[in-house]
Amino acid sequence: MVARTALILTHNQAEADDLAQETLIKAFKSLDRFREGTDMRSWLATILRNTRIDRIRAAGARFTVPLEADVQDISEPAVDNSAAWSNPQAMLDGFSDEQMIRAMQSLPEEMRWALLLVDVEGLDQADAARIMGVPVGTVKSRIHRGRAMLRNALLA
Amino acid sequence: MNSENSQQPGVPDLSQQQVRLDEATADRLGKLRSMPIDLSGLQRAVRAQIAEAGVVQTRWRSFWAWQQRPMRAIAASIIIFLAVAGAMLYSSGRPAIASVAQIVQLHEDLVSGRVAATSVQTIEEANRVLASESSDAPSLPNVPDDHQMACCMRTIQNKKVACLLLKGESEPVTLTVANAADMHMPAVPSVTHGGAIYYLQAVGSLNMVMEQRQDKWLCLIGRISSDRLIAIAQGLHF
Repeated sequence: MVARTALILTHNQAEADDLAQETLIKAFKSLDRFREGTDMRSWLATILRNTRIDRIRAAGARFTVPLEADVQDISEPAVDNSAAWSNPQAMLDGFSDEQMIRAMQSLPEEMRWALLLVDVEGLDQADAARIMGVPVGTVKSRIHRGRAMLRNALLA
Repeated sequence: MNSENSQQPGVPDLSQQQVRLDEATADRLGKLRSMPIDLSGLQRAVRAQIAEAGVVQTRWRSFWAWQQRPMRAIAASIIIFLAVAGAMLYSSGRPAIASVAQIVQLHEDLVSGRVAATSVQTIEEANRVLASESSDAPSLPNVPDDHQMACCMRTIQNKKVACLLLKGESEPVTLTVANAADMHMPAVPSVTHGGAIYYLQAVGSLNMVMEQRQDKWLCLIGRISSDRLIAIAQGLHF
């Protein structure tokens, strides 16, 4: 899960390996802080996310949420109603994993996290909200907006 | 799935089509969970780092603190330890997953010349060239004579694969051969022809056909139809 999430986040094998390695070592070193009853995947995802934020900050970039990530009044992209999406399942299955990951790169970081945690990893929205430190409603909004942006990116 | 059908505060009212789109998108993203991941580099790095004395000492110091914790918490920690470290350390001997992305990359590299391949006239010559590159190179099957051929050894997730570029078709085709024990077939659709099972994958205009025959894993990839690739595969003989 850690390696996969890191790869989808970074879309760069070497960078993903570094991120996953740092995450696993941090997890290993802080085993005694793991609380009984905590979901292991959520715990690892939290460490991965914090590690990712630290690395982005260390690289000099500010870890910010683009305004569009939290826009509530979402106007759906016109492409969603096009004939191309008449059979969305078949349409999406026609894209390779590589194409899906590449399209994910066009999303703001926080939307990517929401889709990664909920849609890719199958965590529930409450867990995702805890990991991301935001209300559940914000996660719902980011997921909805992120999926629409992802579909647009796939056809771009 | 994770889609929300009921209206919640802050969530837009979705049309039926929008719900279908969202569910399909969530389903497709969920399929990334079965995506093959190359863990070889990460395994090496984590193995090296965990082996460092500092990490081990930290764990021993923590061990005494664990004694003060309830047994269930200790058990949970042990599970975490096994999941995080154990799986990473002891999985390197397992078969690799035939990563579609890596095979596509390998084919593109061979066709574009980014990877050096030796031109050969016969399969016997190709097998000699490959054996000189690696003593345990998987042997190539015989192919029809009407192909220009070039071969080389590569690795996919630390597993050796023999590659043969075939130029007799309308488009170049790459044949990749590995020992079956080294390579897992990915979860992709399959068809049966003449009693043999062929696993099919398409990436853009590239088609890929994989087969397990005796102790070998074979893969043919190229910008030709999967039917033509299967026909080529049927003409291969060890």
